Amino acid sequence: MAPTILQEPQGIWSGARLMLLNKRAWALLQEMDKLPGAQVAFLCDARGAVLAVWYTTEVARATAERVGACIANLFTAFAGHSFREIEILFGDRLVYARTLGNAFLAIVCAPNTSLSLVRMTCNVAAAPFETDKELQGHLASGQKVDIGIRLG
Amino acid sequence: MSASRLTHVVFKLSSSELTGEINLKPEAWRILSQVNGTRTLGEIAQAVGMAPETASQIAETLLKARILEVAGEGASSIAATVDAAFFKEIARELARAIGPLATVIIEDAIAALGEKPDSFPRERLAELVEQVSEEIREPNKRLRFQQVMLEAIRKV
Repeated sequence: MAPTILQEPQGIWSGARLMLLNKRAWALLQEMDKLPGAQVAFLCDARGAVLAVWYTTEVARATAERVGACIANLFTAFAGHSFREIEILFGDRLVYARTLGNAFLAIVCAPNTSLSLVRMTCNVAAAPFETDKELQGHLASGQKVDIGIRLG
Repeated sequence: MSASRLTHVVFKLSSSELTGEINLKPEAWRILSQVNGTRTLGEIAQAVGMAPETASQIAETLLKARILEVAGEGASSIAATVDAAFFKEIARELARAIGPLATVIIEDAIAALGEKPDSFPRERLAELVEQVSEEIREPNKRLRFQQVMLEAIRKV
């Protein structure tokens, strides 16, 4: 099982809210274990703040965090623009990112990873997170600014 | 055999005696160290994080140098293609979501991918499933179909 770093108590994330977030984030990111080629995955809020990180043992934690910071910046740059999913080349890696209601999921994959498999794994894994109204409400209330994210 | 098709091939170390000095680049060693007579070159490339084209070029060079040899036609074809039973499973699940046209839709999708059912590459299964799932208009049924098929793909 690949290492997963979950949210610590801070800001709006404490008590039952934090438990709900971490429960959903954990379940979502554990699905990445079944995705061949996935190397690092991030869950971010709509402002680009990283909420959880999953990474394979082939990747150092520091590297995973650095990539996470870059991707968080990317999300911040997209703030205000509506999109459902993005596929980009990041160095020699593929990055697939999609919205999860009021959050984002980004996965860094080996270059020859099947994007169809990535998209379907994300669809299936994301459903419980995306449709949890209570969690989505917490995520929305955590946004101090309206950045215009909506499902496409 | 073209370099691009080598990703489907299973290699093993050559049984012929090598003579003289052999110099390997680090990339070639990364591939060679993973060759075990059971994994396809594509799987090895994925494991070491190398582009399939690069891995194919390296494998071609190692083949010409007689350092590697193909593990066998049978092994490579079994590793690379999908059993007919899998298509029956896709058809059954798709029929649950969209009805009796499922088989026709799957046949069309296979043809659209430029493949044939009796030689469909395993590594393109996800592409096929994703393509046919777009025919399911009801989001919950589409999700359920993808969920079931993902499990099936993992077992192939």
